[in-house]
Amino acid sequence: MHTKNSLPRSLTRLVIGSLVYGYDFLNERITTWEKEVHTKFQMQKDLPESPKTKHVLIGFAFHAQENIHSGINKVDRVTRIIGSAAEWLVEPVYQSRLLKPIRYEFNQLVEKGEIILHRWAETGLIEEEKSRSMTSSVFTKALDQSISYLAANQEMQELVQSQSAGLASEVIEETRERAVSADTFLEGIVRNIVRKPPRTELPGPPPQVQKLAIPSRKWRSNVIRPGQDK
Amino acid sequence: MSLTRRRLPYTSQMGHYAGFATRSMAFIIDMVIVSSILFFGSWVINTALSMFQMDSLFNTLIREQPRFKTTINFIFSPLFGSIISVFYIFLYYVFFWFAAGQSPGKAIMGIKIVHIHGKKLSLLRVILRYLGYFLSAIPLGLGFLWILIDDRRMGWHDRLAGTCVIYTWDARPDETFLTGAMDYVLSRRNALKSYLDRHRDN
Repeated sequence: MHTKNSLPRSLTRLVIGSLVYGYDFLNERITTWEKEVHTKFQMQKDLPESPKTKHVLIGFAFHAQENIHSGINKVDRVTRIIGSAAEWLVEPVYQSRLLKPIRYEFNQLVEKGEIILHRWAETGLIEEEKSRSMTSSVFTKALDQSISYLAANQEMQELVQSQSAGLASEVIEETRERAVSADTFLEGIVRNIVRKPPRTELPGPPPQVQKLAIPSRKWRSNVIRPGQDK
Repeated sequence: MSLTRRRLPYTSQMGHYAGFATRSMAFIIDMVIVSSILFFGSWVINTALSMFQMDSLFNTLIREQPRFKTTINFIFSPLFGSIISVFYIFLYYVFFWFAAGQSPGKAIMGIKIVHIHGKKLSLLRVILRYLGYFLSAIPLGLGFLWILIDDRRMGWHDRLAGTCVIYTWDARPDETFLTGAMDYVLSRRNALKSYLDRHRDN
């Protein structure tokens, strides 16, 4: 059956598709979670604590649900019994010639209703597939577009790069600090071995040499000097 | 904000002579870089030669022009490869030292080669320093180990070339690391001493 394409119809498809997908997903998840709970509960030998008021209320909620469900089943059974009994009583009157015109009109209405319902069912079958397909396509494309946007976004790239560069800087700074500590430590050991007095302070190079130690902008140290705020 | 910001009590050693461990680390990093480039370069050359079937081309050339045989055999010999490698390493160090005063390894570790009087490094001085590496290495690396006891932390190659190596960043030792290392060494020394004392008595 051919169905027309328009904006309201497309939106309806999207909504129906989302509901169908959501229902399927939730159903599947609930089944998995129930299995996990059942397995965990079976492994647990004893009840965790003695029952309290809240446990009574929780148990009431679950038992009420069961009672309502069994109540509905009972009502359904009783209705069927009454219906079959009533049908037995009403059948002779219904089949009489007096009610023939009414019976004819009633059957016509029933047939029309059946045709309408059959048409709805057919449309529902076709539209469900279309809605699923449309929703799946929309979600996939939206996801791809989001990823492409994030990948192409300048600010996101800078953030990722700065994080990578920040990590590299951290590693290098840590290595440098350990190496400087090792310099002092090794020197102390060697001076001890060759019986030299321990160094109280390092002899400084001449000022014209110290001036040549231009710090690299990229690897500016993150350590805090005494008296310096962060 | 860095995750490793901490307060260190030592004064900054920026502009002061760099120590043995830092310089060794820089040397190791440089060796890794040089080795990687040499390995990758040789792989590229081998792949290109085999792809273009240069073997057969050179064999044909040798057959046609036998006077080129010695030259071609020499080019494909391991000796030539070694000469190229040595020349490449020479160029690597001399170029970076002359251009910036620091090789990539030294730049990563935050140290720099400078003239002991603060003058500009000349090409000759840089070449002399590189040749001094061999002088330092020959007696079982004693020239390098000299850095540990020298007051200005200069190796034999530094003394030969009139250079020194200084820190270019806010270098301070980590007190926690030093304390821990000293405690470990002292505990090992005490354990060894007590072991020797026990056996001497026996």
